Amino acid sequence: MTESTIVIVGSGVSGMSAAVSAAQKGISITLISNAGLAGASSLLDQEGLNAVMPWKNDGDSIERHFEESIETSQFLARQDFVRHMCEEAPRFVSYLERIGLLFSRSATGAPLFKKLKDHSHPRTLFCEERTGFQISQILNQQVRRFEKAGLIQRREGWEFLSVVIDQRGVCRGITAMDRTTMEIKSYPADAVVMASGSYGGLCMPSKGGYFCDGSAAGALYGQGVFLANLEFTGTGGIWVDHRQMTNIEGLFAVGSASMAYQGAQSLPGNRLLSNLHSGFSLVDSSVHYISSLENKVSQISPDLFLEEIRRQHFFNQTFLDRSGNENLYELKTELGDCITQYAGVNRSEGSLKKGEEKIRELDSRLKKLNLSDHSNWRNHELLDARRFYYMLDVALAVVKGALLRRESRGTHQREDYPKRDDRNFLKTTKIAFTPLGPEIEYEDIHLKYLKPQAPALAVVDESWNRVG
Amino acid sequence: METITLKIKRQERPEAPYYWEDFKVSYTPGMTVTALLTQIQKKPINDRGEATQSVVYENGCCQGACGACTMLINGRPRLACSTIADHLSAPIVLEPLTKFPVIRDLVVDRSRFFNDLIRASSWISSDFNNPDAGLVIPSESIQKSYRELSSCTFCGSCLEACPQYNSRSSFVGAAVIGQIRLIHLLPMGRMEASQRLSIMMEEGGVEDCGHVGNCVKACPEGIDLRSAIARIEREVTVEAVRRLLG
Ligand SMILES: Cc1cc2nc3c(=O)[nH]c(=O)nc-3n(C[C@H](O)[C@H](O)[C@@H](O)COP(=O)(O)OP(=O)(O)OC[C@H]3O[C@@H](n4cnc5c(N)ncnc54)[C@H](O)[C@@H]3O)c2cc1C
Ligand code: SF4
Ligand code: FES
Repeated sequence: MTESTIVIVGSGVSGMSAAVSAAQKGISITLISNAGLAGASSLLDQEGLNAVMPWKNDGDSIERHFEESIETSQFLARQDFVRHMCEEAPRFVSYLERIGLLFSRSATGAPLFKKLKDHSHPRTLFCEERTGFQISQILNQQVRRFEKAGLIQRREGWEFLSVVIDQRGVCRGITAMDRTTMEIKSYPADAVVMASGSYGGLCMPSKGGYFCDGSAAGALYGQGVFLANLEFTGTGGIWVDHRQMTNIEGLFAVGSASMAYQGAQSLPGNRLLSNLHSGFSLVDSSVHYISSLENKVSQISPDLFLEEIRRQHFFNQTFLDRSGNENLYELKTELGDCITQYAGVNRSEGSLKKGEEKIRELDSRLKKLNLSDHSNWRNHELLDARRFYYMLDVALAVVKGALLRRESRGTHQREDYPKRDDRNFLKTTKIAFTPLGPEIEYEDIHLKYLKPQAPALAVVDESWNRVG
Repeated sequence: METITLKIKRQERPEAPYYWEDFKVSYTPGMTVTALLTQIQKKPINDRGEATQSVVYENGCCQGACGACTMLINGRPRLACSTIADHLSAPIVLEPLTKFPVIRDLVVDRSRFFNDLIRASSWISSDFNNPDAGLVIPSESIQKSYRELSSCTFCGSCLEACPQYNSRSSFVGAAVIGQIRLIHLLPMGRMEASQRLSIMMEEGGVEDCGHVGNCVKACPEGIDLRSAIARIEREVTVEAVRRLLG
């Protein structure tokens, strides 16, 4: 394949994994991100990496790792993904070691394992306090390797704006804007992979990194892509099917951008592992999809892309034209405070309704925005304004999801519904954008390997009742 | 609430002239330089009371891990997100790094650095499906060096501080040499050493180092770049002799 037909958005552990694994198979790809590793919360992940190593005779097993992952997810994680992830974990460890990662070891040279919360056995490898940083850097070396070989085209400093969808509803590429020249370009592709990270920065930008605000997912959501499970702080994301494909054909999502692996809460040490696993599993499903495509992107009229570029220019202009007295960064701070206060660890119908009201207020104040910068060169304010616009949509979806889920499960703890209710809510929350607000639908979970032990009504097992 | 003055070197575009603008921002102890810059975004008004364009600066991890926010703070390269204003003398003078082309205000284009990292080939060529060669566990002292060298955030402070690194020379600088040393610490990494040493022998390679040692003082991670450079110099010498004897 000479032409780059796969575009990956996001250069954290999941995006780099997808890029490197494609390159290893000789597939050339384009890796786009607004800030490269500087925008990746992968860099900050300190939890470590779970793997049940076959040589470790301590009674642990891949089965236990799987069960504990699913139990901690409170049965909302995708069992087939998680199972395969647990099985493959030791191979990721050997691969990472082979490309030069050094896990922390004892004086005798044996790798050290931490026993983290919710684990029955010590099975978390780590690189001192910097596991995410070290894994990110080692993958970044591999990305450079394939850049030099011409298989990865890295485009850093490009802000993802939108996907390009044809008349038949098939994703044909993306538009992105150069953060310096503010040029908007399209990147035609047969498959687009969103690896744009989580929405953790919605409330605390200084904790998860400046760019991890969920705005890329928000932009997709506005274009008709379903989000899911957002009420579970930090584990929801873009809805995907068993191929990691979204509801738009040809559009995939991996890593923390997707909702597949974590369910209601993630087992500590599974996040980096799931980022690696989802990135590496993606290649086969996207290649399979591309081979089944009747019309390749090369046969698509350039007008489709020009039209989307025009739409994005127009959207930029709507921000530049606003002439009110609201300061973007004040609004952003208020949104963060709002999520923390009303949709944080302690939430109830009352607080969530207040949150909803506040978000709608911020939305109307955004119309009276006053940017200090109207230039067309490295205009961070314009970029941030666009991001904020989408963050509001995501925030509203978080609150709506939390309001309707009248139970407590994982990281979603309702003061007014303190019990888990499997009868009504052993389900995936699927969220669709409408101009009037989020529309929510519940989807059944495929309990393929493991079922809750007592799936009766509103059972509380006290061990589930942990907060946050 | 106290106020503090920021004196910022500004430039609208690469080809535009620079100018200085002062800002009085509210300040509470413990605030970082990045937090002070956020205050300007919230109130883009200079110390003469004039409305102005808010200052453009780079933000990333906010936790000292990505190097994106490096700028000159009171004349020294530092990470804005990790530099607490309390101990800085006022006014706090902020300038973009001088060794890279300015894009706008405090944002520079570090692509020369990133391209040199690709050129240096500091990686191990092995794929997911390759068989395991059996891991050789490095000694504790090697592990210690590895931890140190692998903590590089690619902030570029060492390049800023280096008199040999500038637009007139093609010197790759301390961080890139450090990355080669990092890979050469590992047995698997040594397999392609010859290729990397060739790059180190070319123009812009390790021989351009002037041994001033500013890089060590500038590095926020405290990486001993001086000994990494010395090791690569030795490897280059040995390689040259080896090639001579052919
Ligand atoms: C404080 C903290 C909070 C965390 N919160 C969560 C959480 O809520 N959920 C969770 O699953 N994990 C969370 N994590 C864990 C961590 O984010 C994941 O484990 C991380 O490894 C995810 O990797 P990733 O590759 O999916 O995304 P990231 O490593 O975040 O990478 C995202 C990439 O996408 C790019 N990008 C983002 N938006 C755009 C855009 N519009 N255009 C172009 N590029 C873009 C970024 O620049 C970056 O390169 C958190 C970690 C920390 C330290
Ligand atoms: S070696 Fe130190 S100063 Fe140089 S780029 Fe790396 S972290 Fe920054
Ligand atoms: S923002 Fe990442 S080091 Fe400062």
